Amino acid sequence: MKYLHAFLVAAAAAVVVVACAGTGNETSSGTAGSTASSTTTTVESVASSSSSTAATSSSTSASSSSGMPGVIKPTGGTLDTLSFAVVGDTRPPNEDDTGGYPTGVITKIWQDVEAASPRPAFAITTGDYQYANPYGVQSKPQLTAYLTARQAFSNIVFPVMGNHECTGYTASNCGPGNTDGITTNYTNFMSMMLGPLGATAPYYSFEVNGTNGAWTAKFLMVACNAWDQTQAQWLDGELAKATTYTFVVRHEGVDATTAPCVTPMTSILSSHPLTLLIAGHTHTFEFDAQGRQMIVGNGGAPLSGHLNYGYVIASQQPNGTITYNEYDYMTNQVVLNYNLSK
Amino acid sequence: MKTIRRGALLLAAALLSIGCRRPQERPAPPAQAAALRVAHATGPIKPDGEANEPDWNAIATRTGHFVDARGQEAIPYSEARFMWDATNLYVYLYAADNDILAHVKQHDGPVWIDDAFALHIRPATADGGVGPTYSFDVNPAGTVTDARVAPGGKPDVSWESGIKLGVDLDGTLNDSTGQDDEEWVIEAAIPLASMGLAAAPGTRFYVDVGRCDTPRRTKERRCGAWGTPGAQKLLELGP
Repeated sequence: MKYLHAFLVAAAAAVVVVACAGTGNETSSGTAGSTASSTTTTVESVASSSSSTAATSSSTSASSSSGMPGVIKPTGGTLDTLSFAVVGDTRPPNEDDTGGYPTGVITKIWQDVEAASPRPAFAITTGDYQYANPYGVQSKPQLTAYLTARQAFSNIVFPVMGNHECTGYTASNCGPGNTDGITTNYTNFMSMMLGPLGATAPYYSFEVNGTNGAWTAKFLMVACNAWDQTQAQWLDGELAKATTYTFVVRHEGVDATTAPCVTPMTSILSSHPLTLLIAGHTHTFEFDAQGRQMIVGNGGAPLSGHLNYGYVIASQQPNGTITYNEYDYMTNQVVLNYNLSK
Repeated sequence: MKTIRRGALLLAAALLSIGCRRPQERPAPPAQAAALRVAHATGPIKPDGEANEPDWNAIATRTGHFVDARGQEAIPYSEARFMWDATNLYVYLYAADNDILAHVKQHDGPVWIDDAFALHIRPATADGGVGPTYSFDVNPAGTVTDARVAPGGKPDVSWESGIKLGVDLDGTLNDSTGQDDEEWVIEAAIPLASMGLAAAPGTRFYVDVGRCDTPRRTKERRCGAWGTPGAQKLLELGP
């Protein structure tokens, strides 16, 4: 019995250690914070689907119609080197909590992106810019707060829609003819964020091509929470257009299987080359080189992983690979770094 | 053996209290210290987890971002909010969580081993003396362990607070395979009388609240609290 007591005391003490390990001995785990060390993972030629090489000739029309090199317009443009920023998921913790909108965080992030050298030619955002009652009145002030913060970045931004641009539920599906129809959040997203780009549907695409004609890139901006057969056919058709790089951007990642587009897109994506699927939804940063997926969801929404708020800058390298640097928004230090083939 | 197990449980709880620097071991700050006002709700609060009463956003007293032991914003994000009315202290607990885990389903069980909040409330006495502490551990399954801890004593889990709460899960409980998990919210009503608190403006009490979590794809325990872990905040029921 005495030994049993001793064992129980030891076990209880162990419980203390486990339960409180984070309160007193929490040190940097190589992630966020002022120590912000850079971890480099080089992954090249991972996916067999990255064999799109014969696309250059098909890109000339997009190049010639996009105006001055170095300036990206809503339809795309030309660049000497592909470079873009990725920011995702910016919303308060509670519905209609406009007073709790993470204005400070997202403002700093956009200021950081603006100050990056070289400044990214454009940015893409991965959805969830609000947490508002889908039929209430807080959507507009929250989107206004976001867009005000975004003004710190002087180049063009291409947004995708998140579940909070529909009803807030991951499984929600908005748009004409869809289950959740037209919500106020959806309407405001369309008018305030896509309107300036001239997009009339919640999904769209643009191309960015090399000024020397050596490479082409298409960005397919999917509305996962406004999914229908028309969008599926559009996506399949766009993916069939050969380009050197293919980026598919949507809100939910591949494991968020309750989102309307995730399961049907699996088969569509599997039959075409893919450089990278860029998503958000999960409020952290994750990179899956083998699965060719990057999650950027740490743009001010309540953090759910272990990294700090931040952003990503993608940069084309001389050998054609793309480097993805994830930055801590306070230190502007690279926290994680990946390099992936086209 | 049953008695020994129970004793061990209580011992574990007591050690947890020590290890986590829970409030009962600390000397009481003077009751005359500046207090943070808790807003009186302007309408009914239904503790269903939805927290969709406008008061939660408009007037509730907020802790803001919990911090870790280094004083930096704790990740994952957590916060708490407070309100009161003629009967209850209302508590809103928000947890961002990419892997919502809760295996303890038994009332007064070891809730703290799950993703869980720990809330401690101790009535303030006029002379700054030490009174009992009322502790509440709650996980995203809605399981509560409430206990009364007399000064220098052990947690008495036979004490029942009469707490009512609702949970809102944005994600799937105990499913670590997907990326659907975003957050969970506890909305609770704790009868003021159960803690010996008068439901009247000017009533003062000390609070500390924290949360621990195990993020997805890790076995690391990450904790945050309102201010310094274990440090008590003096609250006062406002008009």
